[in-house]
Amino acid sequence: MSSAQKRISKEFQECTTSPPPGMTITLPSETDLHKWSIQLTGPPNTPYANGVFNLTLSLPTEYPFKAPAVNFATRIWHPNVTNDATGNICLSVLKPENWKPASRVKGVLEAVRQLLVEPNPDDPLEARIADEFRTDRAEFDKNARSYVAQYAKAGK
Amino acid sequence: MPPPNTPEEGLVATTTLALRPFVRGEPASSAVDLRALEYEGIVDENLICPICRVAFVAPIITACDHVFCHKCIVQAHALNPVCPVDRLPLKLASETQTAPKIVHNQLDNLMVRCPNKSRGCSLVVARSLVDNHVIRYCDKTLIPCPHPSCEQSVARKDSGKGCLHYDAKCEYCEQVHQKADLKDHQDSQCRNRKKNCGLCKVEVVRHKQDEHMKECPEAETPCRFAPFGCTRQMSRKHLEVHARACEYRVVGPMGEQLAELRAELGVLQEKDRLKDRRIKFLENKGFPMPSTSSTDTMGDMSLSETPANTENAPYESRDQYFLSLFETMESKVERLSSALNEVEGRHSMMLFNETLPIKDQLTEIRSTMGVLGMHVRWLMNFRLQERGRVGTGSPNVPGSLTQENSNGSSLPRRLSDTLRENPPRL
Repeated sequence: MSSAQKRISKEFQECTTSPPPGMTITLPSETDLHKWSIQLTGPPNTPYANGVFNLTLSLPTEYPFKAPAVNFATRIWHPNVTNDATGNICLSVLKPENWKPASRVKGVLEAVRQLLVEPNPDDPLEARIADEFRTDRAEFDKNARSYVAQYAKAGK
Repeated sequence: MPPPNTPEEGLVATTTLALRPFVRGEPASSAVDLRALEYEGIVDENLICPICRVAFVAPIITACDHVFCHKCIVQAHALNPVCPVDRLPLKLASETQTAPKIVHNQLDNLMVRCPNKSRGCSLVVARSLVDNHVIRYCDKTLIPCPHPSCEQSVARKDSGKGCLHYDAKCEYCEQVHQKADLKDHQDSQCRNRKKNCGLCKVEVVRHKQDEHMKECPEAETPCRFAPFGCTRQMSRKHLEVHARACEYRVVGPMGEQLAELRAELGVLQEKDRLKDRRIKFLENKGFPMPSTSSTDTMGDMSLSETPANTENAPYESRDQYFLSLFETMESKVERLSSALNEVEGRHSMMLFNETLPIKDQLTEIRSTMGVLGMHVRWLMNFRLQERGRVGTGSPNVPGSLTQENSNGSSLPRRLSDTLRENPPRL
């Protein structure tokens, strides 16, 4: 096992034994440590509360020297997540110029969760949603809840 | 073929060195991958590399005070020349150095499990020593098969048994395995490896049955006090009960004391025999012992006649008194002879010390003599030649020499004559 593999397996162990709040982490394929699937329960006191979101995390072969990629598999109404099937996330720690080998997956996942608690409309991927978030918070909350109801129902 | 150290070769070496961004601190390649080791207990978070998340291997400290494994920082720096923690620009060659000795020491002291754990080595050892253990001592390390034509590897402990890479049939399940793997197979894989112990009904691994018999609670075992005479034999589980009630239990400690006494007796007997021999030796040396009967009378006599003597020397008999006298004399003589030896030694040493400088002086004088002789010979030759010239009648000879010429002795009869007449001016 190379040192990168060793690090990944260690991080996986760490994330499964003490996961960030509201997350369960599994490996879709036991043999491939580079693909993780994450189930995230929407943080309470947000429009996403009680929603269950699936995320995929893929670690490049150069990990930890290159950043992992995190995507929402479940659609979500959020200014920093693309409103399509790919579910790209705009997260500063994942940008190549901001990624550093000392960063860890757990930190990334915590940042993703934090993004649901506090969206960042100043650096949006979906300008329309960001605008809505800034100007009409009630409408945004309503849309977000309806997305949760449509796509992120528990047990779905 | 070019000789070694040709310019080209040197060039190749320098370029490879130059290509490597950073060579300092690279540890000697070891047989054990320190990153793959299993650490015993929890390693302090401060000793864990932020890049590979394992205890540092050959730690390097940056100018911004962050520590990484040498390999990790080189790899990270190749992709992005910044510190992997604070993203400050970092020059690998000038702004990093080997981490302080104290960090190395802490890492060296981390306890790790032997990497051959899966093959059965349960050793836990300091990380700095694991390499040595695996390469030189661990029985479970795989080494090339001792058979010259066999290319497989075998555990070190089996390397003395010759090539084990032939097929052997398991005696329990009829499957064919390589001899080297057979034991492993019988330990954990063979479907017939387990059987119930015929006595205690516990399931045991067949080929470890002998070991089980040593602790099987049903096996017939002789009583613990068998050496003292108990002849009872019974199953192990009853033995403890029996031992508490065994008639020989009381004898046990006595028996031990008896054995101790016997050993002591043996020692004493040995001493006695030595004494006997000594007495015989003395008898033969020309001190004929009076017969026993006379000894008794003599002893009586001395006791009655010279009580003062017996008080001074509380000996049982006269013979012993003489014997002791003789012994003291003997020891005195020994002391004298050793003193003599010492004096002799000292004298010869002194003599030697004094003769040495004399010898030296002698050789010096001899050499000076030699030099003098040479001088004399040279001068005489010189003088001889001069004489010869005078003899032929040179007109420019000083007056004194012409006088000699007139004496008619053209040449001195002997060389020494000339010397006597005209001592050479040195």
